[in-house]
Amino acid sequence: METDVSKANTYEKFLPEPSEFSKPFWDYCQKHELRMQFCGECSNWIWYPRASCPSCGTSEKIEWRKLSGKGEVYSFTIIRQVIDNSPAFQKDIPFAIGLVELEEGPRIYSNVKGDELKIGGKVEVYFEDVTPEFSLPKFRTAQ
Amino acid sequence: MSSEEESETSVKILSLKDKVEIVGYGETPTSRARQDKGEMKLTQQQYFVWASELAISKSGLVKKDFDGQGLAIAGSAYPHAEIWSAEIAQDLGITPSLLLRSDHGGMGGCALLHQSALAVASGVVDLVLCVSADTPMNITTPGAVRTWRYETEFQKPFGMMGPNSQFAFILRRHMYQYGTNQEQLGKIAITQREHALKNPNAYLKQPLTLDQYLSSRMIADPIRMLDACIPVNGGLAYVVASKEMAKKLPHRDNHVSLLGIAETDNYFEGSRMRPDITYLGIKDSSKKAFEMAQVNQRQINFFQPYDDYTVAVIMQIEDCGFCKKGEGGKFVEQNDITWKGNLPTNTGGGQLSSGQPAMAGGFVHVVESIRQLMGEGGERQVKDAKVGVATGIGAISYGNSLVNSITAVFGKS
Repeated sequence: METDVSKANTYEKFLPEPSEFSKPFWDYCQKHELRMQFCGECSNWIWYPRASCPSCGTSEKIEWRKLSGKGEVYSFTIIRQVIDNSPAFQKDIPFAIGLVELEEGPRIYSNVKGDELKIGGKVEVYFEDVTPEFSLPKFRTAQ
Repeated sequence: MSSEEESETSVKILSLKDKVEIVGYGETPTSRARQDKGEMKLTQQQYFVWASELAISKSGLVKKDFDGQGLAIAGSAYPHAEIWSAEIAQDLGITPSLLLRSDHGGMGGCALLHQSALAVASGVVDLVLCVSADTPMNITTPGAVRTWRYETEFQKPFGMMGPNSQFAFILRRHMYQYGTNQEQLGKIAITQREHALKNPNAYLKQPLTLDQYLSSRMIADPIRMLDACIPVNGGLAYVVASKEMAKKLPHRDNHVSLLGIAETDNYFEGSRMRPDITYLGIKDSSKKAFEMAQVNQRQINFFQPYDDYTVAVIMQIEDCGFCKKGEGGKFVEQNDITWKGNLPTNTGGGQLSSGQPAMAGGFVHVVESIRQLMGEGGERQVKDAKVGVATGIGAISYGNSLVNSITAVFGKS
């Protein structure tokens, strides 16, 4: 992928700092695919990425499995004030963050946009290419 | 059920009922290091030493009595010293034979009591000095405090603003599931402020009205500024002693006995992947601690729940069994939770109004419990206080509430 220098230099918000075992998540996001770890031993999803399965403890048979990207809002907040280490978010205020329960089960925090933000509201994933390296999975009201 | 019997989970637990006493406490005044307002600015080490000296002298002991005994310290938000307890021992000039350390977040104050009680009850040591101090107001570099990997990788890129945001999800859910409202949350903030006005060491000294609470600014909707604790610098300490040692001390008629203590770590309500975030492990730890203490909710004369946010108080009133789940808001509305009420709650103002010295915040509830049972609550003394409860909760987790919980039951010895 060609590097868009202007874009890389203008994105001021926090970027993820992937670890060895979380890197695949961000690599899939870059391809606009939402994948999470899935335990082949006990058939539970693992989110966020971990070195072993919190449900059964195995560190083997963990694969990256694709999700539909559809879910509903379990809870949410509207950020109305930034804290001193996050000035780059100032211009976005107010903005919403949801704890989205994906239809496969796992819950993920991310920005949610749309008119009717409410608990139980249906949402779907989209990807925002914030730098050449990172695409953030975000959610919007489902059609 | 006797605490010596098997618990429901068929795990034998050692009863710590009446095995140890708390023989002294120390609490420094709080400060936000506003030197322009004449407030003191001390270092973390100074607060550690100050709080320790207060607790040691209050116990009728001297520093050298702690040679060959235990020293227990709670972690600090900054500077994240990897080897910290030895440094404190050097500052105090003591040579302990046991170092205990907590990294349990807000649970630290009670967790060190748990660890100390185990050490003393087993006979390894006769005394443990438990101390913590923190100086969040001295940190001038934004972002200097590094937190969990999940926060840097999976929350901050989306604009999550730390605990305020995390608690917003919990509060929104509590309101949605149970109808908890802002007036109920406001009553907690107002009551604890009333208590702070009667506490010389408390930071916030202006009376608070419901209108002021309701007009305080939204930070992470629905969390308002006055739903959150206020960070302060400060230090707190207490001394745990064996029964034999306690008998030799000058204030032996005014000690506090540990009646019950139990913790539940990495708790989730319901399913691990989809927990009900309106619950805390306090539900489990309180049941065990009350059983150990052989007390029920009606016998509790005061309640000092860990209060980083107003909703945490409501959740713990429920999870400790003072009312049914979901009725905590209504309970607060319909009961008197002031120092002279039927469930005096956070009688020193708690972290909401007295202040939260960062990682030492969990000591606030233990020290206020000891103070009340020693009859030294001054203007906020709960009349005839014989049994009281303190809690600690810590470790806000991804997609869950705080996953570490502990409940301690104290009695007059």
